[in-house]
Amino acid sequence: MVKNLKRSGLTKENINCAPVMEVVDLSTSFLTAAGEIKAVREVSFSLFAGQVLAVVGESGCGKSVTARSLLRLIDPPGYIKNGWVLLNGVNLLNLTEGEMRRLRGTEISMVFQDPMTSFDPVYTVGRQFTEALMAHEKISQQEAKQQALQMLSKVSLQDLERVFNSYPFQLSGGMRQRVMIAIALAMKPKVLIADEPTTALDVTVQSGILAELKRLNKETGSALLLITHDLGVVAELADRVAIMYAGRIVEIGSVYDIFDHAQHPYTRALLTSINPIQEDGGLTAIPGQPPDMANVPPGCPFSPRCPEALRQCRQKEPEQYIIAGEHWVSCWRAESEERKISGA
Amino acid sequence: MSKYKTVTVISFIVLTVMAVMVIGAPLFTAKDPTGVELTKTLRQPGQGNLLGTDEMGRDIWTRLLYGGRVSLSVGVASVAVSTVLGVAYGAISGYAGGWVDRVLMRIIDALLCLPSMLIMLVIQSMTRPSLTNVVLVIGFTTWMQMSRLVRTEVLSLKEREFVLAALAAGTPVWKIILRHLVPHCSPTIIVMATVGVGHAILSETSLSFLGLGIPPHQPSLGNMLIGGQNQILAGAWWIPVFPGAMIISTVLAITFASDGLQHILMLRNAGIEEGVKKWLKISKEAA
Amino acid sequence: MGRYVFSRLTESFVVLFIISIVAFGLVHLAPGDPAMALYGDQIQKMRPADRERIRENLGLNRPLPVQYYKWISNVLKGDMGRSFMTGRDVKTMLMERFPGTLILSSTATLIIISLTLAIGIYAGMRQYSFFDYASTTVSFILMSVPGFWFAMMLILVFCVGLKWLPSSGFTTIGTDFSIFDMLKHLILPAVVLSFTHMGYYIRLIRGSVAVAKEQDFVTVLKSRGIKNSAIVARHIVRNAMIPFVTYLGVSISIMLAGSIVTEAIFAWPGLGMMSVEAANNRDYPVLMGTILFSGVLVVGGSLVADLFCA
Repeated sequence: MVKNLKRSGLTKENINCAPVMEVVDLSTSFLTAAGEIKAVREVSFSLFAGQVLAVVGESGCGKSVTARSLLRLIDPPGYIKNGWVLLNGVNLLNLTEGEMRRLRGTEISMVFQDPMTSFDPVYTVGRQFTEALMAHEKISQQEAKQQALQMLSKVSLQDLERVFNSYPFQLSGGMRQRVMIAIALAMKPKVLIADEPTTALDVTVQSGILAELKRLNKETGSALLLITHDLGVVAELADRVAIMYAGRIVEIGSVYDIFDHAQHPYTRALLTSINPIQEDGGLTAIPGQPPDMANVPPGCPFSPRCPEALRQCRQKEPEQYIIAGEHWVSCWRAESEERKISGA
Repeated sequence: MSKYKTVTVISFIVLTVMAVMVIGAPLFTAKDPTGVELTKTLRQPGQGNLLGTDEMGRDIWTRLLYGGRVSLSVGVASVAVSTVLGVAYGAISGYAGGWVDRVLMRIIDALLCLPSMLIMLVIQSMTRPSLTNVVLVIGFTTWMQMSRLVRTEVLSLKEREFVLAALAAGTPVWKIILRHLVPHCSPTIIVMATVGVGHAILSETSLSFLGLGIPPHQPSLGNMLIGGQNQILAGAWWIPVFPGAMIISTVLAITFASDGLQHILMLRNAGIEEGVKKWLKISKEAA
Repeated sequence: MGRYVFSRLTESFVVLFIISIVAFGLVHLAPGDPAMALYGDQIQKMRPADRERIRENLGLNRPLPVQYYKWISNVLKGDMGRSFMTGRDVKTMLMERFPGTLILSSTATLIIISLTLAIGIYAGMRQYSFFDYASTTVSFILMSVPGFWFAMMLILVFCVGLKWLPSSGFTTIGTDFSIFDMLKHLILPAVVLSFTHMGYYIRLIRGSVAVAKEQDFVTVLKSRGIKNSAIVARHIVRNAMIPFVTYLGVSISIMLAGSIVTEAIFAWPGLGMMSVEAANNRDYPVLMGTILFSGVLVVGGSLVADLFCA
């Protein structure tokens, strides 16, 4: 695994380059009968062109909700409570629904988990492709088809006409996901969000899809936000990694920082839980359960499961502390005045 | 969930009150439901007859109670018939599988294509009208839907471990069906049977209204409405209005109860899912 | 596709075959036989020789399969026998009465489709809103009202009270046929037939819209920046229509059953009224013909609906 890490890491260049998207203090909640569920709490990160940020965490930690919040695809009873999602300096959360709609698919796109249920079963995938194109551009059905076929050829699909005219159930899972990626990238978005893009696929197809994503990400220069629970995928694909727990980012840094210099006990637990034999990275190896999100305990949410918890961990949520450069962590163990990020 | 529970509980209370009133009919009226009094014909409600009298001078309130008794019992009894038939047919079909299942299901498809009312008419026209006949006719023409649902469930249940275990232990097949499979289908059976009672009451009243149901001398909610049109045209609105209101409130309570039960027993959208599954099957075959 | 059409056609023929056996069997296996039914109690008073003669004339002394074969081959040749009552050709009678039922049930179906689609889609999109609960309650009430009683109430209001509409028949007797006059006669039966069946459709569409709008692909389409109105119209409604169209095919049999009572109460000259008359007169050839004809209509209808979906 360490071998894979050599190529990554932040360079000076990347840091100086302005981020494509900046997310600051994003909070998303769901109002349920059991009370307010704070699915995402004050999450902040930046996305850079041509780079991959992986968001890692157990299911229910809020990573998918974060992804959907960026596109403002949160349905009631959920709502985005506050924060900024800045794309080219514009706060998406202040846009009208119509303005936001025009950005979806053109500036920010998303690839979803299950490629079976992600397509409308009653239309051909081609029809759904051209529909997406024609929602944004004034082009004819024929022109849209030409664009679509061209894009399909870029995701290593063969027999394009047949794929174009297929109904979703006539394609394999891997093919569907390739079509999905092609549609998402057709309008050359600045940001691509991939929510567990390979989880629902056969293991044999997974690496192909990931390689495709990586290649297209470099080619188009879009920023990729990759949501996953699979640290193997992270090691292969990511430039930077954010670890989420109970709706918060607990540690963020370059893939090198995270894999070799993990600071947060949760990150370390995640890393040790990957059994080299068990490639899917079973995260259940950490003792205890993630907290009930309707009833998050006081203090650090990880403290009940944390082997290194201090007394203050159970009383007060930790501040954020810079370890080095873009690597920071939210843990009392890393406490020190000079490292503290102000206002966090 | 609690909302559905409230609705269901209210519906069952309404139904219980109705059941008590029709079963204990003599306690709530002193009159004879078939007592013709030609001096008191077509009286308006009030004046000694709570809901008025019909063209034969019979007390409508009294007939409503006794007629309700007949109609409710027809509803329950015919559903008992159709449930036994439908569950047995469905369980056998689902358990047997293979070509037996295919043949049995085609037969159901064919029977469902026939308008039930037409079949009831035909059978009723051939037999003498009697309470038992009405019960049997409704029972024998309305079991197919139940059968289909039970069959679908048995089809998936029979592969489950507890059935395989019972088989391995040498339990006879009829016992497996009766002791293991049917009890597991009980939520479906209960919901379908409840819906069925409402339908059966509507069928009975329609048949009786057409003169092919309960014999005319016996009061039933449908019989009370025979000639209702002419009475309306003659201005005696109270003769058809009250039995109709009784039918609607009974069937409505049953409908709400069955809907509530369906939600509580987690069978939401069962019918729709069937439709969607059928569509998926079609689209796959089309390819 | 070709294979699907073929298998669906074979299936339909099998179903029709079973229906013909049911139609035949109902009449021949029922308690008492057609001869007894035809002459009612009189047959008891007849001499055994007369009884035998009648049975022979009707072909009832031959084994059932032979009788069935004779009957079905005649039917396939277009001969459905003659009415016991009027002595007229059953096929001619069916053809005479079919337009009445067709007009009535297609009008009712049009009313059902337009109203229930509007109400069902609106309620499904706003699940658990006031409108949704109101439409559910109204559907339940409509499901619980006996058609003939609803008809009486309409007659009470529109014919007796307001005197706006005629209470029975196809046209006003003694006048020349006019479309306007017929439509006036059609309103009440069509309203009764459509409203008493509307509840199921509203529930069906509402349910399938509610299911369709929760599908993953709706979020995916949104993420591509497709307009909400387009998602609803092109995707949600289109998906929700599938069970609806399938059900419309099946529901022809339900409509036919419903039209029996409706036609009887409004004296609307269709198949339903004819079958009630036939049942009251024990007119078996007519009843068998009606069963078979309804079977063909229903099987054909659901075949068309399924092929339309595919």
